[in-house]
Amino acid sequence: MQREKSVKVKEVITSLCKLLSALSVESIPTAEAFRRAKFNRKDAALDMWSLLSRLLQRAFALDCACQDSKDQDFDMQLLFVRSALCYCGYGAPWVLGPQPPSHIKEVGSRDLLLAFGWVLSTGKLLDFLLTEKVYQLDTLSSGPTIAKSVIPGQLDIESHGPGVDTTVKKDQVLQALQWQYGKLRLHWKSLLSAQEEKSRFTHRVISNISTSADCQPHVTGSHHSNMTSTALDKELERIQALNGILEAYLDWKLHEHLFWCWMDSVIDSSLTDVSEVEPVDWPPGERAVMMRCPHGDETRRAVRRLDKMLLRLQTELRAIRTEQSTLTLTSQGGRQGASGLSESQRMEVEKKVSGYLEGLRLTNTSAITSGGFLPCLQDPQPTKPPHRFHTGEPGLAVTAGKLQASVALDELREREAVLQWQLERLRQNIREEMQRQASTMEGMVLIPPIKR
Amino acid sequence: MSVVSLQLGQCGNQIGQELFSVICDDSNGPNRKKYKQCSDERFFYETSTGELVARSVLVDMEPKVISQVVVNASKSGRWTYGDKACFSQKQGSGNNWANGFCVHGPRHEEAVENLVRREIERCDRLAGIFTMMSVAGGTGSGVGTYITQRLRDLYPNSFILNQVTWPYGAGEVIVQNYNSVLSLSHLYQLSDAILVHENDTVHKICSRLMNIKHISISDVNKVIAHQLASVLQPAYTADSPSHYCTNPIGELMSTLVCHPEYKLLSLCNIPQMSSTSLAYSVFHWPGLLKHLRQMLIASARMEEGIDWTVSAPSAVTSRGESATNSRHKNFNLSLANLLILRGKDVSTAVIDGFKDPALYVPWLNTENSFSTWSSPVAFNGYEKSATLVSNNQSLLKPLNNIVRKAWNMFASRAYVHQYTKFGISEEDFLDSFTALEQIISSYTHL
Repeated sequence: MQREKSVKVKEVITSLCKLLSALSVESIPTAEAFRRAKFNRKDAALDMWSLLSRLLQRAFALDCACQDSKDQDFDMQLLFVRSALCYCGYGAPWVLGPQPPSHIKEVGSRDLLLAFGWVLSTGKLLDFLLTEKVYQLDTLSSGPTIAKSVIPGQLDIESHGPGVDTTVKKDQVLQALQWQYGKLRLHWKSLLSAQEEKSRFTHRVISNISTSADCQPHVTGSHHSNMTSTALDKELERIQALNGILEAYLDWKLHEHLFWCWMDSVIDSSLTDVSEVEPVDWPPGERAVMMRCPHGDETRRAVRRLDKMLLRLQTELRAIRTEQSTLTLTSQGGRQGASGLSESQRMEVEKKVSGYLEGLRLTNTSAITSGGFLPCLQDPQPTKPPHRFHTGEPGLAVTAGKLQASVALDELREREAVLQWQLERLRQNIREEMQRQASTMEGMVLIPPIKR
Repeated sequence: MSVVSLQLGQCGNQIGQELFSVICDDSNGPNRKKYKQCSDERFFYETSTGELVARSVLVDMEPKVISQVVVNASKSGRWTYGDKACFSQKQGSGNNWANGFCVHGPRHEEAVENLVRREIERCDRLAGIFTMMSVAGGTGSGVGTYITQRLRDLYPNSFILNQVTWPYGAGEVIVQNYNSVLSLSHLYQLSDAILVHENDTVHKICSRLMNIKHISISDVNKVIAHQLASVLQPAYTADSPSHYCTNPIGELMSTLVCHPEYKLLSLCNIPQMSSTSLAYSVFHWPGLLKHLRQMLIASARMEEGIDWTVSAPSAVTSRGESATNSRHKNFNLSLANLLILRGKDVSTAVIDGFKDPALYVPWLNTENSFSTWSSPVAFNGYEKSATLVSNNQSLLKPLNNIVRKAWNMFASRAYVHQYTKFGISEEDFLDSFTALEQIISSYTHL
């Protein structure tokens, strides 16, 4: 059983390595190196280190002009990796701690492995690399999406339009560029169909000729086919490369959950060893990361948007309720008293709701910043994978993002419960008011609506 | 060079049949041999007996409408539908988008794909796939969206033009707004361009301009078909000024929908009048073009009731100046326009009014925003006719209404269980709402 499991794990890690190499990530260690890293072996540390730094360089290639630091300048590499991980929201003590490791060798391979797991899980690193590669190879892929950063939340909000925030004006040059690119793509499509038609006609002509005269076409045909074959070969290579990448990706996706089970075991083993480390640093680590996180603005904006949506939903609900109540009450003639009552009710409720929202915003900034929560407007994909992914892996206690997703779910459920309760209260009040009004009128019988 | 059409649901099938009738009638007018040749090649194929068969696939979940439509087609004597080009079932979709998208679509995808593939393989060159559907019902919207998705995957390099009909604002179906929201949000990502017709507008055209007393669905469909045919029939374009354009849909798209966020197209066609008054009317290009320009600026859809007080903002002093400063109330800013002129003395028509940069967004120069097609052949009995296909803000208001109504219903979760029971979750609804809000905001901040 153990042997089977370990073989399976090796397969899974090999598929990950294959995928990463297909995506042109450099210096990928073998599956064996991963296994050795779990047990904090020294030799694996170097492998993991180069993998991590290369991956982070790729991820941040769009955001910063990272020099392609070779192995010599370890200090620079160390600084870069630590700051990159901090930016990602990783709160391990060797990244954030007050005494940073002065030399690269002090960081254990298991810590590096955990960091690698973190980077892989947060944001859409693999998807980002995949789209980059596919975009390179597939020339007719749909439009140039603005470079999506790997870090969740960053750039996603701006790149997909102003949304509710009307002060964000789109860059006009960018718009014009997108237009021209779209036009180019459409022209390309037209040319492609024209080419297909031409080849179809050519085929018809040649097959007609070849049925009538056998030998001649071969001589003239071969020269032409030599010229076209290089273009075709290139095309073929491109498509094969694309195929390879997509197959590796699918293979990885199939086995992904096994990888995370294995990472579970890595974390368990690291936790059992962690008893030497001061526990003081751990709990505030998560919050500390969030507060020091430089992209807090964007996330705060996202939170504000979410709150606005919620508020809009609420106010509309309330408007409908008060409308209904005033309508029914006017029909019964008792308008004055009721509107006064609902007015004060409304004020009370508004105050309560805004107070509650304020409290929520302050305490839950951390919860909502985890990647799976942001209402990403244009792209339907991003929110889904982290979501499904997070809820399926409750065991990874260290990686902050996962824990906070479930916490965020609870918070949302709480909020929902509160709103429901408020709604029920409103309904109850209105119902009582109506009853009261009906009872004061002579000759009027109130038939309450059928309860849902 | 050939357009394969896909008629989906009741609305799509009826419009499709009217469209082919109009096209056939128009092609068979006088003095238009090359025109007829091009048009026949585009929309029909010839059988061995010399009969014209439409390049069309008919899909519906009920058999009634399709059989009626096929019968009407054969009645004309000039063209028919292919024998095996129809796909129908017995049950119907119950005006439920989720039923169409999650149940009927996947169940019958292979059969429909085979039909479409056969039509496409029959073409020498595919100009594009043209689908017709309404967004209010269940089959047209649900199954239509699903099929568009499948076609997009199967033919990633082909153009897909979706013609959608938006329902009456007053409501034919209670859940029409849900269906509309769900279809539009999905279609926006799948298709290359969405050409919109609104039932309200066409109804007004029928009642005010054509003086029809009792407006039936077929009258509305005839108007829509007339407008569509005026776009799809052969014309000379900028790329092919001496012979009829061989890539109509591609050219339409590359002039209008290059930006991936702006895909909604609206249609304006003038003149539009009853056939009896047609005989007594004379048209002049300057008059027609002036009306059309004002219709564009004031977001009017028909010739009557144009608001002449709306004017374009005065010329901006610098390129960089934002249009919001000088924007007048109700002024309709365009992204791109395509003007199609058909009829006598087309070359004398002066179109400079449309080249005014004040009409367009500042980041696109006029040579990119505005193009013209023309054809000397009189279209469908009108001595002169002008059509404007436009990518502009005029659809913002109806779209906003649809989304608002759908959101109000959704806020109280009315009828949502009808959708969740087929597999569309509330999250999908929210995704659709956000997608449409995105579209609305893109167009608002043009």
